[in-house]
Amino acid sequence: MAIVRWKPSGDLFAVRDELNRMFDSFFENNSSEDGSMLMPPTDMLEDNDKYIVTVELPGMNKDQVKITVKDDVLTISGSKNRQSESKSDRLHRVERSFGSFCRTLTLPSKVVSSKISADLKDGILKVTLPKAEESKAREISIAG
Amino acid sequence: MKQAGCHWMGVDIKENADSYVFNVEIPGAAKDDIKIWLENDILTISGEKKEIGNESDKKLHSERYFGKFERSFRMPSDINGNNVKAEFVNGVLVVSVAKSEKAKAINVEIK
Repeated sequence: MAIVRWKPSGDLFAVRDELNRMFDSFFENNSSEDGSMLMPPTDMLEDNDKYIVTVELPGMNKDQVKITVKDDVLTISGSKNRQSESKSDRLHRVERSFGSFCRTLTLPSKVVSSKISADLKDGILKVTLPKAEESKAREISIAG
Repeated sequence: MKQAGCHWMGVDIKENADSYVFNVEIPGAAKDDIKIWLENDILTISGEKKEIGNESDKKLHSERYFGKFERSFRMPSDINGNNVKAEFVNGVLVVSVAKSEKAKAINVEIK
C-alpha cells in the first residue's frame, strides 16, 4: 500500500464529492423530458395455455425495446426518442411524450422461458408467454 | 374527442416551409379503420380501435383503451386542401397538409 501524506482537507473534499454525486444522480435526466418516467398502457390476457402482454409503444422500433424475464417477473423497458427536428420547423402543438420507461409485471404462474416470443407491429408490442405444463388448467375426473 | 373512456391521442403539430405536419399516436389501430376528413378548414381524424382476442380470454391487467376516437383541428386559411398526404407508420399517423402557393415564405434577396 502506498503511503500518502495526510491532508486535513482531503476528507472534506471527499464528502463534498460524494454529496455532489448524490445530487447529480438524483436530478439526472434519464427519464422523460419533464422528469417523470413514461408509463405506456399495458394489458395482460390469459387463456388456457399462455399469457399475452400488449404494450402501446407508438413510433418505436424493436431496437429501442428490451424484454427480460427472470423467475416470474416480466420487465419491458426502453427509450422512446423524439425525432430530431430541423431548426426551421415551428411547433404548434406538442402532446406526445418521449423518454424512458420500465414496466414490470409479475406473472401469475410459471412460464416456459425458452418459448417466449415477442413482436412489435403498428406501435403495439405483443409478448407471448406459454404457460409451463404444471400451471395449465386441467380437468380432473372423479374416480369411482 | 369522445368522452367515453379516458383515451387521449397525443398529437404533435409542426409547420415547415411548405406544409403542416400532424403526428398522431394511434397504436394498435388498423390502417383501414382510420378516417381523415378535411372539410373547409377543419381536419378530423377518427376511427375505431378494435380489441383483438377471444371472448374466453381472461383479462388480468387492463390499461389500454379500445373503441371509437375522434379529434378535430382548425387549420389556418393558407392551406392547399387538394394536397394532403397521410401514412401510418409504427402506430403513428402522419398527415401532411400542404400550404397554398401564396402562403409559402419567399426569401427576398437584397440587390
